[in-house]
Amino acid sequence: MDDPIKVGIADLKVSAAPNKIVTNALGSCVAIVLYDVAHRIGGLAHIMLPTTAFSKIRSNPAKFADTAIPEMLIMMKRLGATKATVSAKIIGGAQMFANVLVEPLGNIGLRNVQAAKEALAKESINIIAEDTGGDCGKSVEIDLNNGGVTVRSIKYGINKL
Amino acid sequence: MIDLINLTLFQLDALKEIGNIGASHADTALSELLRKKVWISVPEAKVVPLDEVPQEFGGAEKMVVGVYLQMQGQISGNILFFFSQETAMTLADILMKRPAGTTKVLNEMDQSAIKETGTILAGSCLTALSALTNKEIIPSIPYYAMDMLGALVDFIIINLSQNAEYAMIIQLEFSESEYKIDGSFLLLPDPQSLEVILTSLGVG
Repeated sequence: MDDPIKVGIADLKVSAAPNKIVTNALGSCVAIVLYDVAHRIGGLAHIMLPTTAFSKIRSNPAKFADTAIPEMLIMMKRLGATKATVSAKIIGGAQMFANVLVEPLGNIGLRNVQAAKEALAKESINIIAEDTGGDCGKSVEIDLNNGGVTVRSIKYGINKL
Repeated sequence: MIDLINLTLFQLDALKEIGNIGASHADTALSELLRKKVWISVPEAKVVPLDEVPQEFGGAEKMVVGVYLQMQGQISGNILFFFSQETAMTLADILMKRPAGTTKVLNEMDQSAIKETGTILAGSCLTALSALTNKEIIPSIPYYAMDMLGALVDFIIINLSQNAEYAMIIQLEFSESEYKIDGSFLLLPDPQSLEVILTSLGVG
């Protein structure tokens, strides 16, 4: 078994079964996991900001929820995925230090989760599971054999989505 | 807006000098607080791509205890003070005057004492920065968290990513040999404040 494919901050990767894709230590960032159950093709994006409107530096689509999702879909289609059989899971968007607001974003974790949901709705992709909000860091792995997502955190151990 | 990747060595040296003076203040404050001689490393001033910040300090999944403060006023930015859980327990033993090795879980009182340590360290560094630049800087209240380093720093990265691709970080490492305490203290000015700092140091 090969090592899982790693996704960094403001990064995204797509692949197919039997591979796994991981991203580590999400705080306020959000992991958007897409999986085409019919073709066993999936992707994982580790986004930082809700939309391109929040940054002066917009060249990297993996940085924003609103650009990462279309980008992942294009890449998955190239591998043979069809949008009709793609569903989503979202993880992260915590507030690590209680009550710390990042101006002008406020509760940035919450904003990222909302933006991910809006961007998925725009593409008519169903969210079938989520592990969002709260105050703890999470690491995420998707198994492209079956679309199973494993979320690990210090506080709650392992959560299977 | 200043381009971080084009900071000159001369400018980085000027920023390091802030670290140096901050370190000597912090050294005194921390040694008094802990009643131990605390050793502080030669500060570093470095420019790191935002997505590489967690790796720079030991990896995203490293478990740490962190105290975070915001800098506000004429210079704004972020301050993060973090260390291992073992150091946090030892700090709690010393600050709460318990025999060494007593603390197994950090209760609210311990967390407050650790936050206070962060405030004292941040205060001494900000006093130095304020005196050097002649700018008013106000630290926020301290915030406490225990989790993976990557998760603790990502909102700071997010904050900076609105205007920059890199972070300018002034880093101090401190340690105490008897109790084997060690930790890191990071100062990350906002990009627009970095310009203010460099201009007031005469190297803008």
